[in-house]
Amino acid sequence: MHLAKRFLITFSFLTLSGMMLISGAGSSLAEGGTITWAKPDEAQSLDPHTDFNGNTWKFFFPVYDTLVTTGETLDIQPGIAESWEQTSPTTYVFRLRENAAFSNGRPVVADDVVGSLNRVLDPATGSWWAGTLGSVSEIVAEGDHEVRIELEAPHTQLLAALAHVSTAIIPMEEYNAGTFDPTKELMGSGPFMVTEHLQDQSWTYRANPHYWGEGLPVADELKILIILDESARIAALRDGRADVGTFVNPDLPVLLQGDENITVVTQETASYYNLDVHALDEESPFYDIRVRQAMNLALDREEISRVALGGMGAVDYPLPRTFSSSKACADVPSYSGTRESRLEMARALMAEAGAEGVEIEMLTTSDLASLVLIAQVIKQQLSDIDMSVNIRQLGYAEWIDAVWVRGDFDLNVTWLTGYGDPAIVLGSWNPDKTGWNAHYFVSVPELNDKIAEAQSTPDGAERDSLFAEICTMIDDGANMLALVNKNNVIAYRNDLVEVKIHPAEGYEDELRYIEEFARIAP
Amino acid sequence: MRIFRFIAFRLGIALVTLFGVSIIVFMAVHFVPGSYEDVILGPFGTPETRAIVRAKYGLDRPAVEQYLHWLAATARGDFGTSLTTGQPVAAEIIRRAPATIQLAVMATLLAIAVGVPMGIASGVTSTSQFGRTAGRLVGALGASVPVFVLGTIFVFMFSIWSLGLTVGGYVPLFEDPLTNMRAMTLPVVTLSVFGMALIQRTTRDSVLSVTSETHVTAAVARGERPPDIIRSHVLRNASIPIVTVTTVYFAYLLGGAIIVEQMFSVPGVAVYVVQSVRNRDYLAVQAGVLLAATVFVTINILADIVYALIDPRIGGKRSQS
Repeated sequence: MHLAKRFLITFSFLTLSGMMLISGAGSSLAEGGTITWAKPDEAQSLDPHTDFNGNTWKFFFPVYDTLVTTGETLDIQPGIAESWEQTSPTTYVFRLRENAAFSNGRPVVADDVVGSLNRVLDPATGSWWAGTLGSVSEIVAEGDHEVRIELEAPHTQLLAALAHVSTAIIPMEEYNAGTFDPTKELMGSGPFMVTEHLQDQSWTYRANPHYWGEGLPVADELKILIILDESARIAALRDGRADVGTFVNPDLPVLLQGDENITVVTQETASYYNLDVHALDEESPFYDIRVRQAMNLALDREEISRVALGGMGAVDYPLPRTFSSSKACADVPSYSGTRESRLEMARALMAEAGAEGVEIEMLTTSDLASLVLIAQVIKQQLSDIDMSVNIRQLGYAEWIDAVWVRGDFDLNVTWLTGYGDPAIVLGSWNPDKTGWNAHYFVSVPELNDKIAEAQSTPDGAERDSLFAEICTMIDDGANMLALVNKNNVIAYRNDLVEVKIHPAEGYEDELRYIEEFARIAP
Repeated sequence: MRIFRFIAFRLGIALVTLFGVSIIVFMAVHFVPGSYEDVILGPFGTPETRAIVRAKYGLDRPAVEQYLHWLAATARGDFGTSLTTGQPVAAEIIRRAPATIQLAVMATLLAIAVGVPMGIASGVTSTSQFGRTAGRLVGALGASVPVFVLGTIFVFMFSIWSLGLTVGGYVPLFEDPLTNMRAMTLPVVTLSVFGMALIQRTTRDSVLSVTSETHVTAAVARGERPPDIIRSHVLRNASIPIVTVTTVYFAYLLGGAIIVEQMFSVPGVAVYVVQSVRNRDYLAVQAGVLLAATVFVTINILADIVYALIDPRIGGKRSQS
């Protein structure tokens, strides 16, 4: 009877489109208890100021606060600063919560904020995020609960940059006294604190008794299980060892068909898969801009989404589709017209460039299954313009070395995270500023100037108009191509927990409201 | 006395082997493309930030200096500190060793328990067409089904119909034996199927060759009971190849059950080493590989000693050679 029932039940598959999902509403909730989250990756390092990996940040989010944060639709919300004011185009004043305290009980004061942000900006720290904060001239504590940030020039994305965990507020008094080492342990003022970490196995967090959020976290304990194998993660959800699981497999809804007590949610993000093109290698066919443009025109992004991601993605733009300003990018040539008309233009460009029987190498990493699937679809599409693609799947470190250290590739399938302001990700198109793609990216002074202008222009029509110009220039250069968006796939036990999942995420924090997750009373 | 000379000789060879392994593993992890700073800084690393990370962890020192420093520390039992976690590598390995040892011991015992009787049965019934075919079929099937195929089938089946078993959910044996057994049964069975086939085929071949010898024929002619003949005349003489393959199989499991550990979320040493390779956590990889090599070499020495005890001629021959 039980088995028969399992086959008869339907599965729930939701796509959050602009609405917050709150499951279990109406169920009676248990007090306290443990929320268990099964995820595929372990942390790469422990220092929030230096780690660039979104998978690692997920271990930081429950522990660390930032000055500000983002809300349900990437809108800037109070973090450890309960309010802020922009007193001039280059001055921001933040008022800190007076009841905020680190998990050791010491109140958070302005010196902690100043010290943390200065640590991020210090070149000796080696923070990859420092550049997104703009040209900071000084950060000053004004009393115990006020911090003033002075910029050398207006920088519209500052608040969005401060919402990233790479600017986490760490306990500077303990850090300076040598009793806290952020490279070896986590300690912040967030809802949870780490009590046990078994490498590659689990993280256990207890509720931070000094957390400023009233009545939060709801659960007493948060447990993160590291389960590398996706099938084993599904099994953990099915047998109730995990309440929530995060996945990358686009086939998840199919795999969970028939499990009525498991809900699968697709959460839109500001991140997208993209294709890097090596335009500075004279040996590569992509040294010729016409070949790059032809390749860009030959791509069928809708098919990539449909075939590689099982329809769980959507066409995306250099300005992530999550932002309303992204429509400025929708009318550029590589997104316009029918595929046939684009292929015609592409073939003409190839002929003009004298590119026949082009053979190229496309790299990606086997670390993320969807990258390989996307590479295979692209390979097939480029054969339509007589490009023969050899795909090389590399281990993670080898991939980083081949692409970003040695620049030994023609094409590279990867992804970019979009964050909370469209200008942050657009900064990637200025190799002179970022540095990390300077060895394969053509620096276009006019484009660099426009990006800088957009970064300093307040939101509004003028900024949108700049974005439109930037999109056209990016499409024309065809040096880094946005493909399809990289959504989060979350599954949870609707009979065990009440969850709150927001519709749009920009910082890889898919369970942003985990402190509000509650167990459903048996 | 001869046996002690033999053991001393084997120990000497083992030390040279391990020294060679230490050099190879050090070179392998340091000279493959991709380094620790690449993993930590990812695409956003610049030459400056990479230099900072290298200097911070002493990776900018000459390779020879790093190797000698590591070798000296390892000889003192200090495997160093993990670059990823900042915790002692030895503590991580010790924490994971019970899961790997349990997996290897249980899989080996199960393989012996099934493989040896099946091998004897197919060896002594080799004159019948059915016995021959059944023996070959079981051996071929077990040896040819890859672990990941069998594991995938088990994961799929038991995540839908658990039948009292779990896919993952490991807890240490002495903490909760019942939960431990529920979590370990599937990986153990998955891992042991190849071992069953290996031991079955080896036992069968060995039994076949011994049963054709004259002393067995004489025992039959004397009218001894078949079970007595198998126990007293066949098994003892057939046991050396069985000990050899079982030893190699057990040592292999201790060092390389990565697929099964990963599929069933068994927090063992193999997963740790592979994750460390991915993260270019040099000291963790070096310690893990050197330890696996040490275990392999040690088990082989023990096997050699067992051979010498089973057949005293072996110790003499080997030490002379």
